[in-house]
Amino acid sequence: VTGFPVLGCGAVTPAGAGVDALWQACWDGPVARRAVDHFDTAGITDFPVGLVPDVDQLAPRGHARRWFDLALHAARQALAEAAPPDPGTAVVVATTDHAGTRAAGGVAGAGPGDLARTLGLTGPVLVVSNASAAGAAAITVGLDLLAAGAAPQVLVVAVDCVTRPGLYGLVALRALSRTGCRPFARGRDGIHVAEAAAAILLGGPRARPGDVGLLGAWVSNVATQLARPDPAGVADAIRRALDRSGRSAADVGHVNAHAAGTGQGDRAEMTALREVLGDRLVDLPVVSVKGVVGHCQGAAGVVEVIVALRAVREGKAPPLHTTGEIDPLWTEQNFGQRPGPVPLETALSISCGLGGANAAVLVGV
Amino acid sequence: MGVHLEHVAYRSLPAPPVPAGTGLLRRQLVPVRDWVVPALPGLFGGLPGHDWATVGCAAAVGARVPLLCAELIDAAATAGGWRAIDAESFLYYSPHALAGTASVELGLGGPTATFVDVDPVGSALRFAELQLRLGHCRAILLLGLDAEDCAPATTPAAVQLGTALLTGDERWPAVAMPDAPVPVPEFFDRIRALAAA
Repeated sequence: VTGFPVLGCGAVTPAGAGVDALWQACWDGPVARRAVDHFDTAGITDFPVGLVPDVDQLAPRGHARRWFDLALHAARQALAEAAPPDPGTAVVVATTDHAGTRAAGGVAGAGPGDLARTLGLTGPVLVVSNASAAGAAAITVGLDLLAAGAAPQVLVVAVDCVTRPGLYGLVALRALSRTGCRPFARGRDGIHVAEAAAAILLGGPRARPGDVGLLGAWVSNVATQLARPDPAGVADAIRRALDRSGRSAADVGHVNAHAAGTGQGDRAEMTALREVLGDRLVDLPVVSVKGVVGHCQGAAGVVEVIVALRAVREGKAPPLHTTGEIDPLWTEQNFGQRPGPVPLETALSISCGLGGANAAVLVGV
Repeated sequence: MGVHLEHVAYRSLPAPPVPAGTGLLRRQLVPVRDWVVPALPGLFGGLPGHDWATVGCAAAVGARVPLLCAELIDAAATAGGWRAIDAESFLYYSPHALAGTASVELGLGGPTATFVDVDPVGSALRFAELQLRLGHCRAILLLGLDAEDCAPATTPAAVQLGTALLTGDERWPAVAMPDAPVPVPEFFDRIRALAAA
């Protein structure tokens, strides 16, 4: 038996608080985007974003404590699902734009170290920032800590807010879509960002076959330029994650793709998947959570692994939600509209980020 | 298995003055692109020969650098909206731009992670040690970047950039894990002294 058990999960996303709300949204369809109301958006008011609805115990959007409260809420959900954690539990935080939050005015006692202290965890605290692949990178670091026996348990907490420098910068980069994230669709034209937090508590080696857990993961930066993923780099991350998991491409039954809805990014990812999974790809359900809740930035990787875990646990993958026709490149592809060719026992989750970051996480029994 | 220091290089890079008026708005200065990228060949040029496809990367980025990037981009947005932001500048907004640039320049193929905030140096060393111990790569390129503290929306006089090549090869000096969080420049001072000894 390879891999590590998932002892608890938590999520606070535009779908609401809790993993159940996220999972239900993956079946129901896209969560409505909303206008930013927590900073001046002069000149960019036509780029709505994904915002967490009103949830108790969260500071208002734009408040310097919002980042911390989102993280704490998700972490407490994950811890509540498990027995009290070992005090030496390591905390691996993923965030890609904490600085953008702090640029609006910092607040004492609301950083990653404070998060661990508030939760009563005294193990090492690491803060990973591999751009949009940060969440999956943090999971990889967490699995490394467990594999090396460097921590008894690991709490991975991924969180990002919608920040002013982040939003204006993405508009300047022509990365944002006015019409929302439309993964794999013809004419897709970019992402819509979302605020979110997600957490996973990972334990020691799996006690018995049949437990759903994280089988293995890999993060690297095989790339030829900073702006878009390289198919060879994505394929390398997938292969390495499979190797670490002791699985082969033939074992993969479902793909939770990065699929941010960018022209080049979706194409690079599908090219990589085809290279590794071969002719099987066309029949495997390939879905994207970003079409539902938006691009959760540094939290995206953990949000998507949580959905993949739920899919394996329930033995069914939610359908792809996108808008408009599928790109003619992939009209034959199974985007969750039909069951896959094998029982859904192993799922692959992929994350990519600016700078050339690529990560892959394998989930399964 | 610990981590061992095969090579270290370190530079303090003087920051050019921020151009006044629209010059700033049309092309934001961001630390990694404008100060670090031009300095990388000088640092990498001294690295021993390696098959870089088997080398990973651990970047430790001090908290001041991403905050400075956020302040510069935010100031441009305030002054002129999104059109005042140079798109290429935003490619270097993420702290991961340092590791990304190094990976592209050298063709690094091993595990790669960027660490910020609480203890970036300790986290990067821990990551390096894990990758070497688990046999995920044969060496790790450690990158460190920091800037001195200064007033908000004010560029610092200089940024500090360091590179070190860490291996599991015990022929090289062992690097001790710091007991407590240590600033990036102080850590590179320590390992430069180690290499000199």
